[in-house]
Amino acid sequence: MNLVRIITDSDTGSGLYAVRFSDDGPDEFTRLFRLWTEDMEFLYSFFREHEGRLKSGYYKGISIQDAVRATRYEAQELRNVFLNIARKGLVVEDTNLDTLFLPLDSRVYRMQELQKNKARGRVKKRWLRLYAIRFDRHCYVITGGAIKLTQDMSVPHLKEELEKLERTREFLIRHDLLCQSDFAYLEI
Amino acid sequence: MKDLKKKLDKVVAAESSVWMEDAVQFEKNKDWLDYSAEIALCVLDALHEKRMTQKALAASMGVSPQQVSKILKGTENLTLETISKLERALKIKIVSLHSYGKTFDAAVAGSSVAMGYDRTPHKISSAPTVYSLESYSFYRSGSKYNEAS
Repeated sequence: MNLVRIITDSDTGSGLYAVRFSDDGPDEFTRLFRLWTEDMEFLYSFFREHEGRLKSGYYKGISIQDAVRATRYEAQELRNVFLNIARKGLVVEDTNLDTLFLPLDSRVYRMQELQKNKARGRVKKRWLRLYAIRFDRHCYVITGGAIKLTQDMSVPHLKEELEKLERTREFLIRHDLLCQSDFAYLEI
Repeated sequence: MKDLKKKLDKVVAAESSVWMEDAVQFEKNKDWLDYSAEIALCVLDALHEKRMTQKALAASMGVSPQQVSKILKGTENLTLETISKLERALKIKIVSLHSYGKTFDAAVAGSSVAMGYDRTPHKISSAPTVYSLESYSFYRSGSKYNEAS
């Protein structure tokens, strides 16, 4: 496991990183956007598996095909946000990493050390999530992401994301990227 | 901040992420990638509806299962030949042509009898002709496509 630069300042080291869990695979940021924009089979299978959720009132019975299209579109929009930051710089007026990420626990209103965060797509069907840990001002590590169709994180593929957050938090602490005594355990 | 950078340098991989190359390539090829994704979606839905495996589709098309797998990702720049093979193997219509506001099928002239289409010749015009991807469900719900028995 190591970190890979996504959008970083070469002088200060601040910016966006992503975890790479295996040496021969892509980092999580790259892997997720490939899944969401370049793998229709994955998206179709995912929504076929979770068809029951789509039929619930919350999603107004959206078809599997439209769910796939919405996801692909949302992923493009989300990636474009990061592309815009990469092109314009880490600290621009309207969009930067600190405004993009929200506390994972919506009841937490102040930034806490080693806080776990999520970035949401910016389009109407907002079910894409990127999970991250903030470890300094303007410094984030993407640990994973998911299509989130449920209110809580109890389904297996979201539990796995929580485990990845924990593994990354431990990794950061182990490498002295933040002191151990002041990180926040958040209710999710 | 210097300390942070030093610590980060110890755990950050030497090679950079390729996410931006992916994003730039996607932007550059977006028009045809959108078509490819729609075709993949169309094929996936047809496979599901017909309870057909990818292996069976590959055999029916005379291509390798790996080729079908690539098509289903929705990132292949498909040839008309491949699209025609998909249509024939799945007995669905994927691509139609529009001209003067009328829709007609690209395969009409060659295989309309076997495929169950009307052979009425279409008006030849100088108006621009564009491709349009039609969803499988459209053809299922309408009476346009009749499966060959």
